[in-house]
Amino acid sequence: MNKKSLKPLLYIAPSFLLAFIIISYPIIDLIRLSVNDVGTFGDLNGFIGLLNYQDVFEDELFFEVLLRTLFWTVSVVLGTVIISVPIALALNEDFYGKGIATTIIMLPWAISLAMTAVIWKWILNPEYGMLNSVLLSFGLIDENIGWLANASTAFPMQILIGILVSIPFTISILMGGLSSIPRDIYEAAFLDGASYFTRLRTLTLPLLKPFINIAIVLNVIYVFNSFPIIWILTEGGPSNSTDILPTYLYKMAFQYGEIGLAAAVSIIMLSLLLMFTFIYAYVAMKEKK
Amino acid sequence: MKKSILRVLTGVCVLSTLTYASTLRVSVPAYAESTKPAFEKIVADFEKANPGIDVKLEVGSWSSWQQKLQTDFFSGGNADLIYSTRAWVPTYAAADKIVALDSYLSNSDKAQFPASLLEAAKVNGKLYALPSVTSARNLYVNLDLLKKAGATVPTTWAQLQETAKLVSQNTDAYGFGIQGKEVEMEKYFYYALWNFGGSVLDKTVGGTKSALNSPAALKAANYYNDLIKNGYSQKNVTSYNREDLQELFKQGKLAMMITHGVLAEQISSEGHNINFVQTDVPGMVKGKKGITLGVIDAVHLSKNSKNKEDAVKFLMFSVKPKYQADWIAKANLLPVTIEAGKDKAFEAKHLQAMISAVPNAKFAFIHAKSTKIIDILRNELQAIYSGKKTPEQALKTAHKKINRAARK
Repeated sequence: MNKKSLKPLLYIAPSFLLAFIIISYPIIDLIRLSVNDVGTFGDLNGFIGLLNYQDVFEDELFFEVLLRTLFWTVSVVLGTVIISVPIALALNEDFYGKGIATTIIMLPWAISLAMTAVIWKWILNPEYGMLNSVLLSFGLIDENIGWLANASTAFPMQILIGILVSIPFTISILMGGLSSIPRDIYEAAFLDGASYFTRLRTLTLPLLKPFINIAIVLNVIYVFNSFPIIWILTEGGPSNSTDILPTYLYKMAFQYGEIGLAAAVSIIMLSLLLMFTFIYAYVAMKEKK
Repeated sequence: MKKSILRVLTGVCVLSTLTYASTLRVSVPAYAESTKPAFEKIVADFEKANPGIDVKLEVGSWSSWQQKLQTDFFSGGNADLIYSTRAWVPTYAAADKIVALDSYLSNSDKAQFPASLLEAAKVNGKLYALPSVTSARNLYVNLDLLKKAGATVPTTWAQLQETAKLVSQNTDAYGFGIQGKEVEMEKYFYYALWNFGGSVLDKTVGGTKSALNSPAALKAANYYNDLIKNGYSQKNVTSYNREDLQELFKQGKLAMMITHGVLAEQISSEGHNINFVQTDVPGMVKGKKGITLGVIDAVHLSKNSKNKEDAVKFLMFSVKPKYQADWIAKANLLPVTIEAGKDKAFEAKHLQAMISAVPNAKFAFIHAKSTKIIDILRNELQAIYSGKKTPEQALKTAHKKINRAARK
């Protein structure tokens, strides 16, 4: 390696070091907590090896919550991508009122997730909620539904809200991808007599694929770690039936004071996300080759 | 040169004397909008009376108070005096984060508080906290709905069921509201549990084992379950927290519920046209008042405080009747000292109703693992209320899990 090739590395070294310290410190601290007997207030009472991990894996609720988290993540991400692609395609066309349509679709992004969840909590209120009023007035239901009273209605609602709030971010990625596709290839295809759907299947979607991949990876990370929607609407209840790993972890750390177990769950979550990202990146790169 | 050095040194000495003051940090959760200004007044008066002590006041939100205190203790950045709930006292004491106040308080200091309140704040016989505020719960009854239904104000649990039945059958309103989630959800079950003769933890073994396998606990769970199944309570019980139930009552859609004095104040200040009575929680036999829930919040002295004497000085200063009248009465709660109880501020009708319930009030159990135990109980009660489990199944699970949690 000559001097010239070392120079750029030297330039980025300080920022890299800073980023490394900032990112690695909490992870190292979490690993330290997860292998110690930790008191409610963070006092370390001695090294216990992997006992915290064993306790987590022995908790039957953990596996129930883990499966629900996977279901939640897959449903929200899949739903978001399926809805976002046609919307992004439509917004990519020129039509009257495009500006307003884009603003309306992007608007949920401007509202904090916590506030969105609070508003939905009102909407889903069994007595005064807007959803029940609308459904009653259209004669679609005979009596008020307690949307958040049971997991069978609460969890699908939470997934729907999760999709709704993830759409703007996904659309912005896809719109970026669509704007990078050169217009002339469409014109050439059009002259060759290709229909809209043929152009979509053979040009747009293949060229949009890298952006869809980015949207999937980023959304999986965000949704997997998402906390406010579930917490504000149901706090993981009733009877832990809507708990996902972040709410389970929060209860463990800040309600039960089981810091060591919470640290172990955090490390497991981090490992799962890293595993997913590596596998996905590997598959995507293999396809590219 | 020598002169100027001398001047500088003298100046430094004078300055250090002037600026020397011990700093005392006080953390208070906001009970109402009036909490912060009321405490600022206490701090200003205290600093005036004690020029050497500088008080730093932190007022925060109740909803994240436990998390705040936990992270404060975690980082060692906790305040000297911490206002929180009695329920967390054993956890702080077990972790050696707070000190027993017995040696810091004189007999005359202790004599200002009713003995029952001091007793309830003790852990293993030691006074780890001083009561900061208290309250008791009443049964709220909508008299117009009862009249419409041809029912009477219940004084026994059997009557309450009958009244709830009549209201739900003869009016558009719900009979008896049952809280199904969030803060104090488990306590709503205690009303039936205690009055039927049960408890969560077994006192005979030092409160370290579950008592939910008792016939009384099953009776209480069956009682609420029957109200729900028969439609005598509101539908979708697990959708309702305390505030949701209060909202139903204020709208005239609920005939009866048990809660604190805030509801009466809200009905009046928000202009709801509800003809109601705030009465005692029903008992088991006619003419005998039922057991209600008493709640004590408490103030703790941190072990790592460097100003323990000053902190206790502030604590005793803050319980002067005029200050309690200012911040406690405005939050629709009850005072903690005998003298403050005589203050005019507590003569309001809704506060008097709570005061009359105090002699029959019982305080919830305290345990180092109370949050875990409460969570187990809440989950199993929700399983009953949502029809997922029978009372037998849910109590059996709760009993097993609580025994495991309490042992750890």
